[in-house]
Formats: sequence, C-alpha cells, structure tokens
Amino acid sequence: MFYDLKVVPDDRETLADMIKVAKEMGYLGLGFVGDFQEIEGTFRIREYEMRSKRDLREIPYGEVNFVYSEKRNVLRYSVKLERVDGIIFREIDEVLVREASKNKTALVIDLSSLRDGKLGGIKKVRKLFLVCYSKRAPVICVSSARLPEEMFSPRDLLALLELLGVPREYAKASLTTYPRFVLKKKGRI
Amino acid sequence: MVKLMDRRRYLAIKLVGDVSLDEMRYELSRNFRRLLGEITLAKMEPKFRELIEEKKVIILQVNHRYVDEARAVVALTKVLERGGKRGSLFVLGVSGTINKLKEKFLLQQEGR
Repeated sequence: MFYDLKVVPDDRETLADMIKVAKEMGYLGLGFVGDFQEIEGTFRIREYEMRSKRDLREIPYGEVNFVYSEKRNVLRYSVKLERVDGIIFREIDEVLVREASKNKTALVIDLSSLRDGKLGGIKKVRKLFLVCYSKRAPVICVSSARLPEEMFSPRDLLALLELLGVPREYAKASLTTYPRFVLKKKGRI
Repeated sequence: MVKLMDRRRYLAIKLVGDVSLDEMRYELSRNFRRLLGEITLAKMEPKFRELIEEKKVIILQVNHRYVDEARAVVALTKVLERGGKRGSLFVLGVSGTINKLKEKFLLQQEGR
C-alpha cells in the first residue's frame, strides 16, 4: 500500500536489506537511485540535476524521472513536461506549487532533514507540506535513505505529519496514491 | 466522576541496526522529553514495560490519547553514527493488552 520512491543504497546487497526492513514496516515497494539490477518490489528511478532548460531535453521518456534545479525558472518549466514525474521540492515557491497542481506533476518532499530530529528540519518539512496542501498539489514523500536504519516507517510518519498539522488523508496520499499514480503512468505496476 | 486510571495502549517497537536495545531505550526517553516536553510527558505517562533482546523489541505503555505522539517520537529516534554503530526504531503495532500485543505482532513475526 505504501511506497517510498527514493532510497539511495550503495549496492544491491544494501537494497536487499532495505526491502526486507521496508516490508516489515509496511511498504509495498521502494524506488531506488542506482545502476544495479532491480529486486522484486523495487523500481529504478532517475534523478537529474538541471542547470538550464536545454538540459531537460536529455531526460528520456519511459522512466520515472525526478528533477532538481537551483534555478526557479527551470523548475517552473519542467513542471509542464510530460517526461518529468516529480520535482524535488526544497525551497518554498508558490508559483511552482500552483503550476504543479495545475499540471498534476508531483512535488517530491525529501524527509532526510527529519533524520537528526532537530527543530529546523521538522519546521521545514511542515512548511513545505502546508504550502503544497494550500494549493492541493500532488506530493510524494521520500526518505533518501542510504541504509535500512535511515528509513521511516510509513505509519509513524503519518502520525508525525498529522501532529505537524498536515491533514491525515493528504499525508497518506503522499505515500500511497501519488507514488502509485506515477508508477502506473510509467507502466511499472 | 474523575477517572484516575486512564486507558492504556501498548506499543511494540522494533529496533533496526546494531545499537543495543538499552542504548536505544535511553535515546527514546531522551527524545520524549526533548520533543514533547515535560507537560505532555506527564499526561502521556510513558513506561517501558519490557525489553525483548532476542527479538529486538521494546514494549512501551502510554496513555491511549497519546499514541500518535509516541509514534511521532519513535519515527524521529535514530542513532546514525555512534562508535560505528547505527540504529533506528519503528512501531510494529499497537494493542490494548500486552498479551494481545505479543500474540498479534511478536508471534506473527516468529512465523515469518
């Protein structure tokens, strides 16, 4: 039922350990960044850092593609492209959120800043979620975990997000409905 | 009439990693205080009931109204590098009695 669409293991063995723990936590599938073979229950995803709009042409069709750029205009442009499935959302940009909501492109919120449990990280995740919720933009929650110990249990995460003021249904959709929509669109499930 | 005994919930918390269970319990209680504060903690009444070393499971008792708070703290409790050891926690399940909790989550785990 739950999906974490971005983990970053170093090798295939680590990915195997991660999927084992993920199954116990309640995940149905994991998306990973890496060039090794897929294991049952895992999906390869591609992540691109874009410097200009021209770079976006090199993104292939048919794969799950997440895009990140430090330039706002590049991000706002990439939201409209069909080959882009998710925008790594790190800085609050209401225009980007509105465009993402209009084009049904997911905004990917990275939870790695929650890992040290410090105030700054918690505050940032809360703000990013609430901005997305205000425009009802599709959101995908990812852990960017490198090791099994860095992963978050989906049900514990839902409890945390609800305490932070994110409506439960919206938080749940970021781990279930929207990731499934992306995988379905690419014919992976 | 004021009820002095609140209803309780028991959480089975599983440890992932090579940090000892005792160290993780210490980390968890430190995080309860840090993240929720003394007032919420007084209402929540968390109590470590059992540490099951062979299954790497902690059984925690909390007030039934504070299960989400306990889950949130568990999600944020991670030891990412301490003397080459790492560990994190996640909730296997919640139940109203310890026996039911063990039956539902720990015996089920054995069967896997």
